[in-house]
Amino acid sequence: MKETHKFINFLLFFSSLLTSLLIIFILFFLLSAGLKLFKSISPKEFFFHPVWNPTGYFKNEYGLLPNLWGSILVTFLALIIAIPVGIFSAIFLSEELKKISWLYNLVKGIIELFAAFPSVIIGFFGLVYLAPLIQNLFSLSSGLCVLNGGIILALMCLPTIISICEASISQVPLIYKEAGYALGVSRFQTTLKIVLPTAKSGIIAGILLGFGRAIGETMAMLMVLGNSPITAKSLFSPTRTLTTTIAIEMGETAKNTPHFFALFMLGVILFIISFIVNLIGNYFAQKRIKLII
Amino acid sequence: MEIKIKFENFSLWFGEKPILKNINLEIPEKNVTAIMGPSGCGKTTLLRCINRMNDLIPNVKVCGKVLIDDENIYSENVNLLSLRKKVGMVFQKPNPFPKSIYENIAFGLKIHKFKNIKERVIKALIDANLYDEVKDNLYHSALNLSGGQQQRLCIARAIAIEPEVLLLDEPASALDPIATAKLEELIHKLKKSYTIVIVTHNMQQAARVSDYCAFMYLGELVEFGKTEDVFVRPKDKRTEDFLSGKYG
Repeated sequence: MKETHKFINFLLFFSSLLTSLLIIFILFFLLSAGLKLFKSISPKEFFFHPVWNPTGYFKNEYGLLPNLWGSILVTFLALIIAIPVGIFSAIFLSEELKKISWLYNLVKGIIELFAAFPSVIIGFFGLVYLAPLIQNLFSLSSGLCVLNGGIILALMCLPTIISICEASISQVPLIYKEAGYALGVSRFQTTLKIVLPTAKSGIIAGILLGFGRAIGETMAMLMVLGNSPITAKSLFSPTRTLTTTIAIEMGETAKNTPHFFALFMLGVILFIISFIVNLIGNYFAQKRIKLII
Repeated sequence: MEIKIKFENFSLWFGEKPILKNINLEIPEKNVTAIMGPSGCGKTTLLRCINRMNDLIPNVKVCGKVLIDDENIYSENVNLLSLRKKVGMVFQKPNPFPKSIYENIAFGLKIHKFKNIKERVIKALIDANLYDEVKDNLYHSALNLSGGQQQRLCIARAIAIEPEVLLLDEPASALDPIATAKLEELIHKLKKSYTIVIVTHNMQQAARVSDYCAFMYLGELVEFGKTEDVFVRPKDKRTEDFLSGKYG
């Protein structure tokens, strides 16, 4: 009996060790390849040079900024759309729709299903339907641009934001709301000033995890951004993100060239950003659980 | 003696289930009225009719009148927010907001657009016999207070917005004997300024704090009168059995 117990414990320990080692190896692998870039160009050039042109006629240029700026621009645009929509939906779901339980379960099911939607299909939607719409609406030469990417990405991180915010708003104890109502505070004010602040940690966690989802998205962005490696100056400009540049160029570059290493370095930057954001997101998610217990 | 709250042929159903059956009750002003009875007799529901908190429950049906200052609070044109400002409530489980002590009280004051918020917060804390214990930690989280302190904070929060009636729903059921004694002392002090209705299933508590006393059983109001009369000479057999501990 005791032996079985020990064996299972060992098995569990071993699998968790394996998973963490795997992640450490990936990071190590990324870093060791990425850092070789700095044998050919200076870190200063990589971090501050404003042009990404790895197959130039005269000179190869490996500037991080256009890619990073593209990622940040698209992600923030997505969040500007997704945060208010996500929070309002979460409030509506938990405060209103919950009264009709079959409809609530249906809508929640659909939202969770949407989170599992293959991103290529959402990208396809952006390419085929959204792009012509944007093109006609703003009289552009192409609808593949930052705006399109932001909208598509907002759609993709909404399920995460809604699910986590909704869970956290639903967990605000009824006694807090009752205390508000009993003071003669309207439902709107109670929701705004008591429910939302109480659910704050969960809402922040939802937003950050949504951000994590958005910044790492590749396939859909590949399809709707237009993929010019330029520093976007408007919402209607095509652009590239860290992820799409890696996806587009990795297949065509020769191994162990500066270009190859530069792509790894983009991966390192991406890894660092999502690692930090997820870490903070999980911190808030944990905090939320503690508050509720 | 003025009558503050009056139930007239009042009945209430949750769905098809009758909870309150034809209640007639007159609650006098600036006194403590206790509502007691075994669990499930409808005493909390009765209390929650006075500020219409039962409206939050789906499928509630009511019939009859509840009058406060001769105004039917179940008539169509009643403003629920001003009703609840006038009728404060403290719940069974202490429920301060997860904010600072100061913010807990200031919240209601700001919503109802009071001026001199700081002075009013301090006055409410003094009136609730809590100020001396918290005066150095006004901006600390209210969740760090003990259960008894939290409950007195909830009373401070309720009286800060100047209600006329104070409803207490088994306010001491989660408290230890010392905290309960402090709370009862506070109730005794507050009845000079407010009409207090307290629900309790603890009859000793009812005997200690109340001037008037109602006994409910299975949704009916069995007996109502001055506390000493109800306790010494109960008119109804059911009240007598409850008081002598045959059920409870």
